[in-house]
Amino acid sequence: MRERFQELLPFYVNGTLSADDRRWMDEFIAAHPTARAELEFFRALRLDIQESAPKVPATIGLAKTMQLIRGDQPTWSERISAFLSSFGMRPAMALTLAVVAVQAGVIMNMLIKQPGEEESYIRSGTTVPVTEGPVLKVSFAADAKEADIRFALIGIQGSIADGPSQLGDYYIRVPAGTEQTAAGTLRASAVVQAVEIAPGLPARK
Amino acid sequence: MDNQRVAELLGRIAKQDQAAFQELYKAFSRKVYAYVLNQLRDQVRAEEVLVDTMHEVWRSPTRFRGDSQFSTWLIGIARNKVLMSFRSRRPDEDHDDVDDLAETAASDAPDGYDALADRQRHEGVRRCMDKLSEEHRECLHLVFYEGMALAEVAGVQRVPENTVKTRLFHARQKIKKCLALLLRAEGLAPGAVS
Repeated sequence: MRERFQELLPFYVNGTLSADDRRWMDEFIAAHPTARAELEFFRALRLDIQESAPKVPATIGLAKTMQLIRGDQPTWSERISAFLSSFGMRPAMALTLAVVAVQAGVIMNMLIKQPGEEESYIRSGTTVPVTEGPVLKVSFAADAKEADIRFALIGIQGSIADGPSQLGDYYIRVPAGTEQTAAGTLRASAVVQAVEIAPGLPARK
Repeated sequence: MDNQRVAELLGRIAKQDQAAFQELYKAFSRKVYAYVLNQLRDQVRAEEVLVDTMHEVWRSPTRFRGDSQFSTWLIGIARNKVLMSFRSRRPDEDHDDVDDLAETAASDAPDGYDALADRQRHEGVRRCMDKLSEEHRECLHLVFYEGMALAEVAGVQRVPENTVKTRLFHARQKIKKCLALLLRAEGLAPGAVS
């Protein structure tokens, strides 16, 4: 009993005992007059310790602390981390989400693209408007060289508008009104196998 | 200041609110300083540890999770810094253990507490507290200045509750012995001073 009293006494004095322990202490002190001297010892000790506490202002050290605080402003990475953490995210998680978002954007863009908008045409740059009208459909000899073909075209002021097709046909544009003359000139050429006047360029598939 | 207000201020501190930090600082600085000074017995070093401790709060306000009183948590941080300070202390700065002094006193020396007048007793307690080991002095401070319960003291000191009880018992014995020695050294027989 005496041992329990000794153990509980400091906390009886500082008022942190449970109600049951406190009641037990009250009864013990009432029943043992010598215990009161022990109690007074701790009460006086407590008072002395409290009175010996330093009398300092609440601002002690504050100026130095604020100096330290102003000296360590957060870096950009710390600010970004703080911003992300306010949403409950870590930087690695945020980076992963950003990559996923970019990939989703690219995929969605490809899915909603209009039919016929092939990347190859988009990448080819500005388109040249094609004038409508008759063109010459020409089949050159199998052994015709590029220089021979160019020479033949210069003679009729023609330019290649399309071709060669899968059958090797070229579509040649010539100045308007000269189609018949140009066709006759080409037919006379040794590098040309066949010439006919077509109403326009074949439809593109 | 209750834990709810503390949590509110810590939330603002997490957003770099210096005004909130200053309010929190002023509410707890004296407690932390008193604890550190009680351990280090050096005002300059005590202020340095206080600054370090409060700076830690500014840097990591979200570390406090409300599991204990904020002051208990704060003293836990200060305690680690005090221990670091002890490690860097020169050996000749160590305290004189009161046991060494007490060896010369009779084991049945009269309890000097009642014999001393208030002013003398106050001075005597201060001198005898200086002679205690850090653990005993810390224990008395946490119980009688901070008003902590047994479990809280054990938590701060990171020892079992029985160790706290033992430390308190020995601290009391040593202070009694020390006061008796002072009484004898000053030629004041017990009962001679009202």
